[in-house]
Amino acid sequence: MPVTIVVPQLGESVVEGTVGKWLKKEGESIAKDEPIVEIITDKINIELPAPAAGTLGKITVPEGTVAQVGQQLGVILQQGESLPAGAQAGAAGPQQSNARPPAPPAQPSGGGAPAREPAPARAGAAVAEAPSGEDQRVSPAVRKLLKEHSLDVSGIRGSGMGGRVTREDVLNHIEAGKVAASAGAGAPALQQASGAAPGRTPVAPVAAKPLQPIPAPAFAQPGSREEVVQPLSNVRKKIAENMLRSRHSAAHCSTWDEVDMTALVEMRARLKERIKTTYGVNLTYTPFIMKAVVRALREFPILNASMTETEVHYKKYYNIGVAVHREQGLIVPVVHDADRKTLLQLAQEIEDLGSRARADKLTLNDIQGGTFTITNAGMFGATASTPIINYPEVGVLGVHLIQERAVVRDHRIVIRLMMTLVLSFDHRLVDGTPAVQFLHRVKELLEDPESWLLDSI
Amino acid sequence: MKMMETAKSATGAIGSDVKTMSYIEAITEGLMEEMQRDERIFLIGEDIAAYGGVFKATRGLYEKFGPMRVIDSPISENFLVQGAVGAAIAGLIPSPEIQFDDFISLAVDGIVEHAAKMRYRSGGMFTCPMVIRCCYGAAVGGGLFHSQANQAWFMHCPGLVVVTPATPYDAKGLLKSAFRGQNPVLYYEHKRLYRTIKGPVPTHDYTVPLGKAAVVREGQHVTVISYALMLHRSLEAAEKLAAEGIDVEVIDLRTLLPYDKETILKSVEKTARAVVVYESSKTMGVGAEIGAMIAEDGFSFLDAPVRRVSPPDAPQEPFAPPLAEAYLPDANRIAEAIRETVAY
Repeated sequence: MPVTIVVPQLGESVVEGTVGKWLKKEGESIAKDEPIVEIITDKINIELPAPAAGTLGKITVPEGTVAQVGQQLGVILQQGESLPAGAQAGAAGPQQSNARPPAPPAQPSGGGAPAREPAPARAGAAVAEAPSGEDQRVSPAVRKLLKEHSLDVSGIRGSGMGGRVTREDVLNHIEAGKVAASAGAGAPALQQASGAAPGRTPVAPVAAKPLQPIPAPAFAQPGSREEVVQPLSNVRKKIAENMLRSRHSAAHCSTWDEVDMTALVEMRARLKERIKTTYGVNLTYTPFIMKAVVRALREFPILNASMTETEVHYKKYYNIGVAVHREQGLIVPVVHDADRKTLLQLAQEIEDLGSRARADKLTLNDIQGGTFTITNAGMFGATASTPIINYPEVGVLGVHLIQERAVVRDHRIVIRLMMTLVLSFDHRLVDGTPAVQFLHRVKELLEDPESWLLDSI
Repeated sequence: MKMMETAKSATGAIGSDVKTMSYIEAITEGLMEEMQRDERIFLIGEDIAAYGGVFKATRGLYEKFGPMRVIDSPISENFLVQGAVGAAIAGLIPSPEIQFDDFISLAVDGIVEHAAKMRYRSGGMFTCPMVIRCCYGAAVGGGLFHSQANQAWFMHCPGLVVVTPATPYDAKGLLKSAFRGQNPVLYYEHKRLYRTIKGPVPTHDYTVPLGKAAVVREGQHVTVISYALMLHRSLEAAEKLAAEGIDVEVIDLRTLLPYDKETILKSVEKTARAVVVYESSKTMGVGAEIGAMIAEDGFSFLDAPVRRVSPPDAPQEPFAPPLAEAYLPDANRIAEAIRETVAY
């Protein structure tokens, strides 16, 4: 039996994906579990393994088309099989159906139709091809009329929406039959004459026009300077969609604080080499910051929550996302259960997620389920920024460049290693006070790491 | 005009004694004539006596009939109606005025539990004849609590008669019929029509029957069923569509309970298409009943789904003028629904 290739369940709340690239052509042979088609979902690409060995019999969803979970993408034929005649019929998924033709606009009948014409309103309207045979649904009025005149709907051309046979169509049909019958030998001439009157005989079917797409605005080209136009990548489209959804949904508000990182910088400098040689891990500041964030989140659970229109969901788990820059565009892999991991484990996992993100090897699980996000704009030199919340989370912490700054300590100006921390929070759910207190707590923890790292998991 | 002709034909010949008056003048005159005719009739309401009512519908009546028959009441709709129930049982014919339909919820117990049920529960030993005049309707900038149209609540209460005229002729004629019956009548007056609609009204005594709709415009392609303000907008839409070759029949329900099934079904049998245009939120409104009745009793006539045109399911017309405009169907919106129904 031919095996169908369907869009699998792609993770919670994912209902559709875009067919990226078919890795096999029709007719090409494939081994079981061999990647056959690439599917692009929210930020991530997966390669669908072949459900069976055989040859790719038919691709039913072309590249670049959106397909729903469960929708058929193609058919694999096993040895000796050929494509069944009806194979294409099942191909059309929810996204595949053609746009319904617009209702024919009501138009005045030109040429002054006589008053007894049953439907002058419809006379000049575009007529779609009637659905044939049993597919045709008839209205109660039409059904009654057909029965009274012992007629079959399939012989009547419809002028209604989608080619539906209307009551007027049946009346016209009956009228035309009478004219033909009474005309006798002179029928052809008479029929021709009656055909000239609008509304008397069915109008020749015209193919229904699909909806016209709205043309994209043309950008003016200033002078002779070149402008390069590239299609938006799917990843970029998803990023844009998510950013905008967050901006439109959450009430963004940012607060910032200055952190004295001197102690932490010294500590890291002391440990870095040893950690590298012993465990093979690059010890960055991120695991320290993540640890401090988790501690502070425990104290301010509202920042580890999300909201619906009627409920607030406090998460008793701490899955911390870390924004990663990569060429294709931003992605936020998630360290799950960050509260249950040691500093070293965090360091390892963050490094691993980062490299897999850049290699486009993340799994769906790696990017799902986050409860709070950390983003590091300091890596590229920023001293401050106002990050966009990773919706539906309610807080995102921006960490920035650590640099020597002149600060006042005990009435003296001294040089300290300082960093600006910015918290963007969803002000719908999080009031200013807990937001500021949370950020201050993170600051306290980072300024005195030894005091709490000792009792940290 | 078409409306005039229909008004004439609906009630037989009108003598030469016809004068043009506004909708509200027709109501005032109707009250005056009925009070002259039957001394059991009295009016009671907030600011209706010396002040003549907030809309001046009772202007001049206090001067003519005195404080025993035109009574200023405290601000209590509950008292107005409950008191009227007692008076009606005792043999008078009260006419309480509900200043704004929005406040009628305070009087529902009297209307629904007592007035509507009295004749039925007493096996006809007692009747509760009264005419509750109720000023209602949007398109006057009244906002949330001065624009409502709550007829549908009372269409669910057998024992009541609910009427709402669209023309001065019907305003006076229906009012007279209301005063001459044995049942409690909710007489719904549309505020927007008070001074915007003028028309011919006979000076001699005439009535418009309760429970009878009027075909105010004849047409072949689709039946539009409406009343009061929405009727005028429907007629405007019909006029537009005539230029496009769509021939619209328009029915004025006039009485919403008990409404005139016969006239509706006869028309739908001819046109095979029906659009109900009404002024209240869409769900469970007047259109729900009319549409269901057509589906039930006129199924085999139909060649297109019955369409409802109404304000959306929002609590009430908003204050902000652009929102208010978007709330209430206008002739364009009605015309569009009719076009789609005809093209179906």
